[in-house]
Amino acid sequence: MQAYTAIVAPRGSQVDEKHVFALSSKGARELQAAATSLTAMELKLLVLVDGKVTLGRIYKTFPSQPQPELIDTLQKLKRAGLIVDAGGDNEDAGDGSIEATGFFTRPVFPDPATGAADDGEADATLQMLRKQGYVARIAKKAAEEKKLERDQKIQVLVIEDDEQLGKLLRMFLAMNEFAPRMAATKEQIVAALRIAPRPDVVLLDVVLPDVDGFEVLIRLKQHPVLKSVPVVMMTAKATREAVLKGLVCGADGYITKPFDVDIISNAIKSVVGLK
Amino acid sequence: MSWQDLGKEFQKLRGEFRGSLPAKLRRLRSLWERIDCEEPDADALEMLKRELHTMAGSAGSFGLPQVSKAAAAAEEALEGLKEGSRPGAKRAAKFLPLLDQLDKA
Repeated sequence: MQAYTAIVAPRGSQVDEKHVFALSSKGARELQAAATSLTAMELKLLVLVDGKVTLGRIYKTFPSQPQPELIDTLQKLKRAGLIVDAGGDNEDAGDGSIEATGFFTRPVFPDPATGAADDGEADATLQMLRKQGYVARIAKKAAEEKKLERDQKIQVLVIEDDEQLGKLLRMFLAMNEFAPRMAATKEQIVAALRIAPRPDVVLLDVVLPDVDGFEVLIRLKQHPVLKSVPVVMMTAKATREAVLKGLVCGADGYITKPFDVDIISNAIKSVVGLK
Repeated sequence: MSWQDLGKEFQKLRGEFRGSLPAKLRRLRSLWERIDCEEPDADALEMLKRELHTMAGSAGSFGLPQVSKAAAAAEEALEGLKEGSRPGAKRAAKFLPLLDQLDKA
């Protein structure tokens, strides 16, 4: 128990489940970064702690995770300065009060009428998004760096049902030397996955007409061949629970719409290991 | 394709998206009518939520935050409504003005 002194109750041997952790400014910057060197478990905990959360809630969120391991990981995050102790007896902590993790996008191109993006309007929307929900931009960094052969392109399967947004993504990806292929329905997803070469990465919308994005994610991660293909989830509304669900189900990234297309490019490069 | 061309294409798609909004809005109103009736249609509620969700995400990416905001708020206004249940006057009073906002956005 010696190693856990910072989060044990004064009586010494019992772990205090009311102990509160908070995200540090360094932790917030880590969540804002396009890439991270954290392990999946560290990242999941950091997402959960975003704002404030009690140790008890952490235990409840990860019931199958051994508690000493959770504490070890929390200690590691503390040592890295990503989270801090916020005391105990905070009954309200971790009740869903969510802070935006700081990413928002504005029109990529200037409005032809004004010649400039409307930053004021965009900032107002950011405030709204911060009030209403969780704004996430998370992408794991691939363990190994990927080297492309001459003329080789990263194969990107984009699963998006909005026609115009799909077109925008396809155009942007092609422009950035990626090779996009599109799918919007269950049938199209299956067909797109059968086309050779295998996709290097999947961009997956959570809400689709005839299938749930999380279900697609789970099936991909259970597939003997496709399970190694990184998946970046895209959604208009990311609650803390939704982000956690995506990460727990094996997503390699989670991006909230509206997004700047550059974010997509950075996320793809990060999860496939391109510099 | 140059970045300038991509910018033009973006504006074209943005125009297409804007142009598609009246039809999408008519569809949203029609779905609402299918749930705000004597025998509410459970599928219509799911479709309504999904289409509002999609609109909220896409509109913001096309630089239309007012559309995104109103669609997100309308989606939120449906939260807690059970499939097969009629929305009720209070929920309608919250939801319908948001569709009007989308009309004007």
